Amino acid sequence: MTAPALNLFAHEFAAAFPFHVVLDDRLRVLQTGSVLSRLCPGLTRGTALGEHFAVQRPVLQRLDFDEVLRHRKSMFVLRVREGNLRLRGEIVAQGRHLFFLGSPWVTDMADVNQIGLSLDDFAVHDPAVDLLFLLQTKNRALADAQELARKLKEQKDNLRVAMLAAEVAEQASRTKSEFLAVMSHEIRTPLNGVLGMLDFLLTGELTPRQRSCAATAARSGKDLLGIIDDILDFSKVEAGKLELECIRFSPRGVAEDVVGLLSHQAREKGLEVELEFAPEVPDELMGDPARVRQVLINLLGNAIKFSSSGRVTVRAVLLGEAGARASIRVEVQDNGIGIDAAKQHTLFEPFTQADASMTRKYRGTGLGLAICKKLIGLMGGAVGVSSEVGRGSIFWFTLCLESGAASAPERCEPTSAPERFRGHLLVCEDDPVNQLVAKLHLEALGFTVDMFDNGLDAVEAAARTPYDMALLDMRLPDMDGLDVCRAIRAQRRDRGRLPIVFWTASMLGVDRARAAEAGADAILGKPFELSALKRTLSTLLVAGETRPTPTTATEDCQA
Amino acid sequence: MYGLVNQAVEDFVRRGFGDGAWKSIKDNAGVNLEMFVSMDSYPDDVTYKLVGAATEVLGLDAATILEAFGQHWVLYTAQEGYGQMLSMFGSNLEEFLVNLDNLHSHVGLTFPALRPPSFQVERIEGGLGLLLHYHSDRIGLAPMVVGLLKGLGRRFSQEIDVVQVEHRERSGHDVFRIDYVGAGA
Repeated sequence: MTAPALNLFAHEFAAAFPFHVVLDDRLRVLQTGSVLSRLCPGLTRGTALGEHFAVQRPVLQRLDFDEVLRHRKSMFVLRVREGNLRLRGEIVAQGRHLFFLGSPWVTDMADVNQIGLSLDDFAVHDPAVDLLFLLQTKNRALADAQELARKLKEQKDNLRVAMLAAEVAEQASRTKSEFLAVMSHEIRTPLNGVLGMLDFLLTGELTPRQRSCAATAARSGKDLLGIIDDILDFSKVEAGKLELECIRFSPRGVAEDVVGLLSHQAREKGLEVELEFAPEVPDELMGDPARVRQVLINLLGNAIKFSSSGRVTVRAVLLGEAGARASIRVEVQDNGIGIDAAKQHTLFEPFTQADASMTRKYRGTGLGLAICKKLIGLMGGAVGVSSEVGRGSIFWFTLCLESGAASAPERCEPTSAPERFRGHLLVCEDDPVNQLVAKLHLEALGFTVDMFDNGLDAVEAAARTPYDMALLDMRLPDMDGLDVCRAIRAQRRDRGRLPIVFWTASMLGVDRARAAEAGADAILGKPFELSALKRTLSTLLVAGETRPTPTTATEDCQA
Repeated sequence: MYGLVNQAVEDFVRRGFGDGAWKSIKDNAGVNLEMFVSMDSYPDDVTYKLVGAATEVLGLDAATILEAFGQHWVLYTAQEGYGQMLSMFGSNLEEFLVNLDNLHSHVGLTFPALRPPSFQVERIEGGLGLLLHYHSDRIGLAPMVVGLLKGLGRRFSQEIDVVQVEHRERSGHDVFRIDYVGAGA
């Protein structure tokens, strides 16, 4: 069976192949498609193919019938000699006639316009139009990719700017912390001198008038120290540098301690302080007793400060227990001046007191309650107040802490330290005033003291002399206290353990973990309270050899 | 719907109503994309949600928005690189409308997931205008065709009136009557 033949009229053939060329055996034009004739008016019957077109593909040895016939399986690309038109197609041979069947090869819509083509010029079966759509779509996809790349770059630039800003802010915050640490050191160092000398003066013989003056000066100095401590505490919390301890403590013990501490002040104003502890409140909790104590001192101190008569009550109740955790509420109730409802919500904001005139009357930085709020927040609790003008206030806080284990209770109680000691101490301190203060106090307590103003000499001396304890300043001219401590520990590895205490004016930078790692046993703040100094000395000199974590003076507990 | 359509919706809103309006529309529609990729196929739902959110944010009814968008579509495609292609499909409105179905056939080959609409032109005997038969498996887009025709009229500087004379609910497909205004009356 033979295949059906397609017998087309010339105009039908021309419509199906509007760009065709028919050639004779000398490659002369016999016939052309209608659109091609329009585009190349010179392409007339009898003219030679080579006159009008260059054969770009395939690469022919010569342009004649046999050579073209030999490549009839190839794709032919013909380029019009004058103009931009390129045709792609194939050669079909019929006897001594060659038919070039093809269509324009365009790679851009601009080509189409330049050549002067429209949709109707293409045969319907010709995929050239689809190719154009595809090309345009490719351009469009490229534009999308470029747009995405631009957006990515923009975001990256923004991110870079944000990171730069964060870095600047962080640097500013670091600078602020460092500034505070330095300032704290700079203020605490002379204050140490003032308070130390005053304390020493007060232990001697003075006329009543002199004693009153010295006592007033000492009180003012301690007030100033309190203000510096407030600012430092606040900065530490703000800078995220406050570390909370998690040790077993007795909430009742802490409360009793605070009431004991402030009862004298209350008595002076004719106030009664009562402690009401609900029996359900756990005897022991795990947390930071020093910080709980600080908050309670603040609230009770305020209650005493703002009441002129009557009673102040410290109350603790159990809110609930869930698993190993207990939730308690501690409140301090007074019948003092009370606080206007409108002002209650700002009380816990920094640098705020209920009334500006109160700052003048009652003094203080206005940081106390803000610090309480932050400390309680860090401990996972809440603080609040309910108050009525003229009838008094209730300040409260909640704590949700793990209950302490039933065995081996450790109670934090005020310690009664001995008044006299014996022993030979190494003290490393570069400030002459602090040297004198330390020497006076330590010798008054019964110690003999070797004083060094630099780390190297201290380390050398520690290697030679069997001291009973070392007191090291954190900042020394040649090396820092941590390095001195490490050097001493390295030397004395085989000769028993020398108790080492850091004393520092810059509590902001104190990193207890690093101090413990260096081998220190305790940290004392400058200027030290005589009682804190005695407590630390007695703890370290009387108690056992090993002590894993240094404690700060205010947190000393006797085991 | 291809990303190109959603890109055009975005361009239409940003140009006409500002970047803030586009952000609100995108948020209200729950569209959480940084940009649409023209060659990517998105669920029709995305486009419908954008139009729905636009009615709320712009305070216009859906038909008004779709008609305005139809006009914008002609401008947008021309401006975004398809202008020469449009030129190739006709040098006047009638020629272009006759080729419109062919154009969508070609586009259908390029965008394989496309469900292109179909258009047939019917000449009105003795009249100065045309009937355009519109078939689509999407519903609710007839107002966009009205806008599209008006946009094309503007492109070819041919003022026209467009009226929908048949609705798919009644006749199975929509028919629009296009009258040339001020042409040889």
